[in-house]
Amino acid sequence: MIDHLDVMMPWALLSGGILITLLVSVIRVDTKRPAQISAVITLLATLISCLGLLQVPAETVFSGIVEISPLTHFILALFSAIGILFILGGDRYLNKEGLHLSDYYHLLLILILGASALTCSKDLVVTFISLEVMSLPAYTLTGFRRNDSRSNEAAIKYYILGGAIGAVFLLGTSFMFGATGSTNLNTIFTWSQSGHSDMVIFGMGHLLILIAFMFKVAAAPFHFWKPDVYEGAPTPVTGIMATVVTTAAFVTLVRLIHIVDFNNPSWATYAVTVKHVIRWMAALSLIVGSAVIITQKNLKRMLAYSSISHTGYLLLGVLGSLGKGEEIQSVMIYLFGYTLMTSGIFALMSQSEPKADTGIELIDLTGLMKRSPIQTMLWSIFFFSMAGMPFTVGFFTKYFVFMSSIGSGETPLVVLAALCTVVSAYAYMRPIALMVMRDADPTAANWNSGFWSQIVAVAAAAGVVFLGVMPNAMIQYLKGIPLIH
Amino acid sequence: MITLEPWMMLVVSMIIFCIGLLGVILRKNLLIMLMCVELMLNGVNLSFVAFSKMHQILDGHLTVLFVMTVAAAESAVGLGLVIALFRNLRTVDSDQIQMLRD
Repeated sequence: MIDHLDVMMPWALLSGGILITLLVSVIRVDTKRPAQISAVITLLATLISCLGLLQVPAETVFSGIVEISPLTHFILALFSAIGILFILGGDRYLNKEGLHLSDYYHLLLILILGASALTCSKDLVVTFISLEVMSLPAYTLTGFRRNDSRSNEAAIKYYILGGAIGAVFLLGTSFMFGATGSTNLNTIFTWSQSGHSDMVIFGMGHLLILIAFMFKVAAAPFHFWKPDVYEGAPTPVTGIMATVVTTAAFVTLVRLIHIVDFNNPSWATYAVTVKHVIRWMAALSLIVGSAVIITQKNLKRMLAYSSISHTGYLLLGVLGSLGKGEEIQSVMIYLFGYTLMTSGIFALMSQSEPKADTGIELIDLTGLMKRSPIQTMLWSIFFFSMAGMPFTVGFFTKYFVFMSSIGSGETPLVVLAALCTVVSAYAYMRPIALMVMRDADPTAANWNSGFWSQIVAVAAAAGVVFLGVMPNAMIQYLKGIPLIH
Repeated sequence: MITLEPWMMLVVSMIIFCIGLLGVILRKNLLIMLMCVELMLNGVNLSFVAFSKMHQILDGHLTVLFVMTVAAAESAVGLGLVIALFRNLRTVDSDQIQMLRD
């Protein structure tokens, strides 16, 4: 008998849907539509059953290896919604590139399954397995443009680095197992509440695990793979990686940082070390992200560097939460806002039809104002939000992260972050200036708004503006969700 | 008589892991890099077994089974990606694969 099948229903539906989608794509090889419909129905069912379970009390299931809480259901609901949006919005892109294969859909579903399993795992071995379940489809989807050598190169780079970093994570797990005799996060936390002689090996293991996840969220100096992977991957896949994979990795990173009881005086020196590591990584990510973004001409590379600087802001929030445990909401609010604007941007990006085979360059945006005012407005809203302008969600997300880290005495870092915001604002305003003030370049791409991608972009823009004007609903809701127990 | 102590296994496992890590960083052939990733995972497997022996519990051995399964899936995907790359570029030398640059 399986306990807790009622609260695990979304995962059961998703897993069943993956098998059905796989079956459908094997039976109907000649046409892609059945697999697509099956994937959308699966995600829709998952979304609905998650929304029905948003009020479940937090509990650990499956002998303590998985934790169910309102947060995990909220995240799976978010991921399913993003999945549906990207399947519908990416339809035209895939047809245009000749990539519309039915395999795309079950790989996407497996990626979402792995990412959501990552956020609810309470055991380091489960974390490793879900990390790989998330990463393997991500490698494959990155290389999905099989005949384009740039896509192949991105996939290979991502794969080798991801595989090596998976092994580093596992080494950390093995050290922690050696110190504590368990891989269960609750047992490890209980172990860390009393002083021990194995603290050095434990600390090494914990640092290795943190470094592995810093790699996954692309914090500088472990960021160099991200621009290449973003550029090489098909646009909807880049969008999925920027939203689903980043969110899952960040939530897990926060959870794994907090498996050590930092309030215990015997961990005081180690807490200082961890704070230093995160502080330097945050500062480096902010500087690299906002300095290099100015020089970028390719839109996807630009967004990759933008996401690196957003990683820096998120690490500020993590730093603010260290030692206080419960105050992790600023990170959740930031992730939610970031996911919203990134989904919109990638929906807009999949509407482009470049004339040359170089990807989407900034020059493709020139003169968009005259060609399509609506799209110009949507782009501007997202860029304003990325830059953190008031009346967009990006302003409040940054505000909360700054407040949280000022509260724990990180004022110099917040000053640096504010400076970086100003510098990167230039990079975000430049494309808007190109759209409004320049005439269309002869080599500029055509922009054809497909029905679904336009709906996705408009919905995301409406969300960005609405939450920017009235953020209370989002903040009240996300503050009510505890991340760590 | 010399008995096999857990710390000896740990030393061997760390050596294997470091060989793998250095191989991933230094070698230029993609297939060798793939094998080095597997070597890293196998080094970790050995350390799990050593720690398991140290604590006199079986959890580490169980973990090794999971890791081996994941490693097999991972190398299958990796070889697929290398084949796709080789079809387009006719090379597996990582120095010659440099289309994505700033």
